[in-house]
Amino acid sequence: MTDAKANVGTASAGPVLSVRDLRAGYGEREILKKVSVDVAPGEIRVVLGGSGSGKSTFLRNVLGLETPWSGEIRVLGEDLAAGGVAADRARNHLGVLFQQGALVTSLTVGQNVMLPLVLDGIRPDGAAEEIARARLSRVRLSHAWGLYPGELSGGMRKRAALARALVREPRILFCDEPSAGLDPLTSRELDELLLELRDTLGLSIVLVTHELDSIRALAEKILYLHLGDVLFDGTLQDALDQGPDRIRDFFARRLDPADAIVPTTWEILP
Amino acid sequence: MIEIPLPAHLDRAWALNEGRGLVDRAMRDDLVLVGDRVEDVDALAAGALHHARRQAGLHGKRLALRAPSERLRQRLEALDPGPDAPVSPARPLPPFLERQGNLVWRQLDVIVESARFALEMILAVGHMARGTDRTWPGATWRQLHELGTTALPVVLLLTGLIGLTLALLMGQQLATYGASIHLATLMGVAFTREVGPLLTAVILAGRSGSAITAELASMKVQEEVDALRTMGAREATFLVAPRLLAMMVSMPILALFASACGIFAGMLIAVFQLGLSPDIYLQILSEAVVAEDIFWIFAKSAVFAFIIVFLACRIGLSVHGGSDAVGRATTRTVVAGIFWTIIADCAFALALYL
Repeated sequence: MTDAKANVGTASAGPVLSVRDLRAGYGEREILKKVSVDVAPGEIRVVLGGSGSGKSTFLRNVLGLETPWSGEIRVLGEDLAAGGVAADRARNHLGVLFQQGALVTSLTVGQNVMLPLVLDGIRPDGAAEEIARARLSRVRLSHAWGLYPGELSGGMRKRAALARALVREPRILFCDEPSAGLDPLTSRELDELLLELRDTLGLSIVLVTHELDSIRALAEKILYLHLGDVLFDGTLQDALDQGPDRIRDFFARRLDPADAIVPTTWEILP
Repeated sequence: MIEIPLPAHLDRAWALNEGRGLVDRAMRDDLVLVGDRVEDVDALAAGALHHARRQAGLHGKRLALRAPSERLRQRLEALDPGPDAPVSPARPLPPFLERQGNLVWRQLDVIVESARFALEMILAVGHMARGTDRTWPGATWRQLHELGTTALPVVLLLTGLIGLTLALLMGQQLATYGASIHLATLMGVAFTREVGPLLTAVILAGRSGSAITAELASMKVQEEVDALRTMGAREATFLVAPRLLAMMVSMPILALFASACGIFAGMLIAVFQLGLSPDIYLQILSEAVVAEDIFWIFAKSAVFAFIIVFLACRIGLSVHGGSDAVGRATTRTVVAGIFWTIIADCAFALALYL
């Protein structure tokens, strides 16, 4: 590693996120067996799979909320597990949109959006306020500046959380089930907003979802997890054309045979 | 095989009477139900049939259907409860000594974890003060207001009322010995050394401790704590330190006010019930209460505040699950807060006055 700062600033050629042989779990239960994936700059990558496939565990480990058992997670070329200033700086290039927004309830929307800057040691006024206002207007929420999260609808809360995730100008945006709990129209608006942000800011987006409409609208490449293994890693089109049956069943909304109800057998006599 | 004909109408009444009997018989005998006449089947009756079949299976008996009508087939299928839950093989218990050893390890783990958390709390106040880890500007002032100032009325009211009650009871006893003048001594000693700090701590464990746990637990459940961590905040500094500092500053002051209020209530009884003059009450009081007592009000209250915030934050931040977990955590904080406060108070009393 020559100069960490230069790497963070100019890493446009290599993948923005690179996960190698990630193994992870809770206690003694192994959830992710050996997951590797690369996310290129400006790419929208959807992580999907049935319940219990390890989607959430993948996300939590990549975000540093859990410590992986083994494997390597590099953001803009920096190994997050290695720690140090460069890793911290790389981590600042991650933005996260949590499932319910996860806005801090005791702070107003404006304060929430300024929060990442405050954590960097910037006072929440002047320039910080201007940046936050710019982010809020980008997600069309300028009017909500002084409101508290409890006063917002589910969709507004997610947009505010999106503004907060963008305030540090991240290179990668992680979204956990962005359309969960939203009506189809609002969730479509959110999808369009994500596309727009990718196009204007050149963000890479990693989405964890199982909402088929969202996947069809957004996904360029997918990472399909099944029982902690990567079942498919490639473009959505390839998955639909020549992916394993399980994935084509998933998109055709067919039930996983393992989930089907097994009828009770009665012994019938003539 | 015993044949049992089913009636045309398997209704609710059938399910509640014959249906129950059927379950009992199915466990004892091999049965054949003749269902050719069945015309309609109530949901509860279908449940009774499925239940009988499940119990027969569990008891190694046969329960068969002979010539079921189309309707009976449909209804049994529509209300199919699914297969029996697979019986997971029982896991063998580890040997006795190993089990005891594991228990001890787990307890040690809790102690080590708690000590680590307590240390982290103290260090976090330092990080916050030096600005190496950050919190929202003014967070401590806000907590000072919410945990301290707003608790003042209830603390004053309750200690005042307890003071009034105690003074009334003690005054009557003292008067019978002609020693009413010593009410000032008793009230002074009791309220500075014991009742003031303890009562304040108990009230704040219930009021502010539960508030801290409820807030932190709901932040945890709604992933706010995770969000803070991904933004680079440390929960010990961002969430715990302002609350710790606020409680450790406000509780000694509240306890001082509480002691004064209780003693003042005693003076009301002394003056209006026992006929003492306020000057004499204050005179005796000043002889009974020494500066050291005031110091211990502060010291004890600071320790109680630490205990309450420690428990409230630790319980709040270790919550998993949904909103029901928040409620349970809050209850735990109040109980544990009062419990450990009284233990600590007792330890203080033994150390100082034994």
